[in-house]
Formats: sequence, structure tokens, C-alpha cells
Amino acid sequence: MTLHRKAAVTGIGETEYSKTSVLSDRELQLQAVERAIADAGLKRSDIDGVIPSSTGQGFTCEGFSEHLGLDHVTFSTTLFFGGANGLIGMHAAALAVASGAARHVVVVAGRNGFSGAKISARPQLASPAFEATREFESPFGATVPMHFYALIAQRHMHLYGSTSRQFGTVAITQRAHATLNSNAIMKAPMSLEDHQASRQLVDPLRLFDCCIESDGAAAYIVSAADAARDSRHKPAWVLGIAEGHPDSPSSLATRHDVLRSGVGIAAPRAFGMAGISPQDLRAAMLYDPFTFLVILQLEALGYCKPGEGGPFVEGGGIGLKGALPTNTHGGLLSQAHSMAGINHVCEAVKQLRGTAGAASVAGTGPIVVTGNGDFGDGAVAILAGA
Amino acid sequence: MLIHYPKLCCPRDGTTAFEWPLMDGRGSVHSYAVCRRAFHPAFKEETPYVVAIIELDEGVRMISNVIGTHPEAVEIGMRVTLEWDDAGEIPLPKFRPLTGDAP
Repeated sequence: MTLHRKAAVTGIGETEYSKTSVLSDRELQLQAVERAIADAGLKRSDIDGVIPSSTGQGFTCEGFSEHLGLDHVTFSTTLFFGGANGLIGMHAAALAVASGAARHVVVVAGRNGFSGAKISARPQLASPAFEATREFESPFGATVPMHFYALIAQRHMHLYGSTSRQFGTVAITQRAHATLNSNAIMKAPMSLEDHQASRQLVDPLRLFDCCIESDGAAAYIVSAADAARDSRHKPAWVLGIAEGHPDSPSSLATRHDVLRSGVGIAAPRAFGMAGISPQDLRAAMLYDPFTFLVILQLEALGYCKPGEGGPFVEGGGIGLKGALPTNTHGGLLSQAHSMAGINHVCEAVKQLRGTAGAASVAGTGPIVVTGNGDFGDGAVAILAGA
Repeated sequence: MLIHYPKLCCPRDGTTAFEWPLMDGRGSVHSYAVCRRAFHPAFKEETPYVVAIIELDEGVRMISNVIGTHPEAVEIGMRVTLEWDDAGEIPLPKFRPLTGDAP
């Protein structure tokens, strides 16, 4: 079954993103869901599918039903792919509405990633998926995601000559985008010199190669095609969507090719379903826990050839006036990170509605959105406003 | 077929009839990262330390440390050999640069 134009994102909701939340993880999630329902022009009782995130101290499906009075939920699943949950959830939601299992599915994630359990401490490394990491890798001081992403980046630098200055260009480009966004946390201008002078934490990655830790939640509603046509805003149609999981998904070291990711596996299927080529894209929202991942995903998507992602970025390709404006909201690096990349989905939808403010650059798209979590599980969605 | 890390069954054919073969202890650096800040207090004294993916000559890979050399001297492809670190409660298989008689 193709999902091409069988589903659309009809509502988006975001809390304030900050480092000073006074709400609990659950209150943040409820607020995001309520805003997404209102944005879609729906009633709470219209929601019949719930995909909660497994991160943080958020609600299960039951919790949402109890607090929102949902009384005829017919579809729910919970995901365990860290940062990829936000977009793998869209795949599950699209399958649900296309099959008739549900009509309006809400996907939500969010937590206090700064004021609560810090994201850099990565409580997920305590999950069953990372048993081998805990037993065989943590004793050598490989204790946080940054260690593993640094190993991937170093390999890419070795094979293709990508550079720290190219990583820095990702950071400063997205910072420039964040300065245009009223709901972005990091707004102080950043220069390439600032990036190069930032502290080396795990070479080859510096402090300014890392995303921020923040508090906040975000949600979106995926509706069936016939239901989407009646929605309050112009729907963001799913042209293509796919997920991918690399071999050895929770142990990077033993993966056949450490540069292989779920995004790369999913991309050909997502573009094939959409019936477009990567070159047709008008913008990209790429999951960016570290600067380097933007470069790697430009290549994994097939937009750049292997090794050409760095030079593309360095040439201004991902800026607002570049060939592929990328993470126009500031991304995880400069807007916020605690909602499993759902802020990327929200930004793509705003772009397609023409409500992304000074960063509006993509017309009716198509826009690619990626999710990447747990060192390689991933998803690719291609959305369009018409 | 060699499997590492240990699993409940062989991912290729499902067998659970495992043996523990001895590895030669030599390999090369597949990738590495120089850790200048410890994210866990247990490693504070160690910084800067090198986390590396070591590819053993027999073909399996593992995470370990490259020790016995300056972190700046480590590079991808560097030949290394096993050196047990017996300092802690559990002996840890670490690696130092292999010099001289490298094949």
C-alpha cells in the first residue's frame, strides 16, 4: 500500500521552548497536544489515535485519554527509537489513517530536557536497547551519544576530507535562522571563529557542534486524506514516507558500515513513493543532534554525493538563500531539543502554510523531514502544501 | 562465524552452540574520538582519553581505548595490540600502538 497523499499533517502545537520550564513533562505534553488539536480545528473527541513518546516522564496513551477525555481511541503504538520517535511516529500514523484504523492521530513528545533529567546524560542509555553499550562500551568511557557520533564524524572526515569548519558552517547557519524565530532559545549571533574557538569536548566535535538541551513539547495531528480536506489550514500532504533501521542498530561499533543510517535506508523508498528526486526539494528539516549529522544526511538522502555534503554546506547551500534551505527554525542546534524532532515537523508545516515568518522560503515544497535516533534508527518524510 | 558482542543466538543461523575462540589481540583503529571532557565522574582523571572502534585482525569490532601514546598521535588505520588494564575490579581489554614487528 502506498501512502502517497493518503495522509496529511493538519495540526501542529508547540509549547514555549525554554530552559526555565515550571511545567512537568506531562503538562508540557498536554499543552502541545491541546494546541495541535485547536490548530487543526478539531475537537478533542475527534482524536482516535495516539502515539506517545517513550522518552521523559510523559504520558502513555492511557494518560492522554484520561486527561483529554478521549473516549474512542482505536489506534495507539509507542515507539522506542529516541530522537527518531517524532518522525517514525508519522509513518505509523500515516499507516493508521490510510488503512482506516483511525482518522486523526496525534503524535507527541516533550520533556524538561534541561530543567529535568538532562538530555546529555541520556537516560535512554539505560534502556534495554543499550545493554551491549552499557556492558561492553561504557567501561571504556564511551558513555554519552556524543562519543558515538564523534566516531562517525571522524570516519567521515577520514574517508572524505570533511572538516570542522564545515561542521561550524552548519552551526552558524542554523544560528542565523534561529535569530529570526521568536520561539528559538539560542539567538546570540555566532561566527565561524566563535565555533572554532568553542571548547573541544570529544574531538572532532566541539561544544558548538552540539544541540542544546531544553524544556518543551511539541505535537502534530496526522489526518486521513478525506478528513484533511476539511481542515482549518491548508494540509501538509504526505507525498512519501519510510523508516529504516540499520544492522546492529544499538551497537555502532559492530555495524557493518558505521556511516550507514536508517535515514539512508529509508530515503530511496520515501522519494520513490513521492515520485520526486532529491533535487526537487525546496527545503529540508534534518534531525541535527550534532552539526555533522546535517552533512551526513544531505548525503544519505542522495541530495549530495558522498563527501560532497561538507563543501555544499560551506558554499552556503543550506542558508535561506541557498539551494536547499535547511532547518529554517534553528533546529535542535539553536531552536530547541527535547521533543524528538517534532519541532522539525512543525517548521515544515509552517513553511508549507507560508507562516514561517522571515524564514518562509519553501512555497508549497516539497520539503524533506528526517528523524534519527539511537545512533541510526531513522525516518524520512516528504511533505508538500499542494 | 565470529560474533561480538556476545548474543543469545547466532544472528545468521540461530545456533546457540557457541565457543570462545582466542583472538590474536592485534587489530587496527577503525575510528576514534579524543575525549577531553568526562561526562561521567569515573573518567575525570583519565582525560584526555581516546575512545576507539578497534577492528581485530580476525574481523570483529569493539569499542576500547588506545593507550600508551599521545592522543594526538592516534589515527585511523593505526596498528594496535591488546594490553589488559588490570587496575580496576574487572580487567579491561585496551589497545596500545603496535610498533616494529607489525605485519
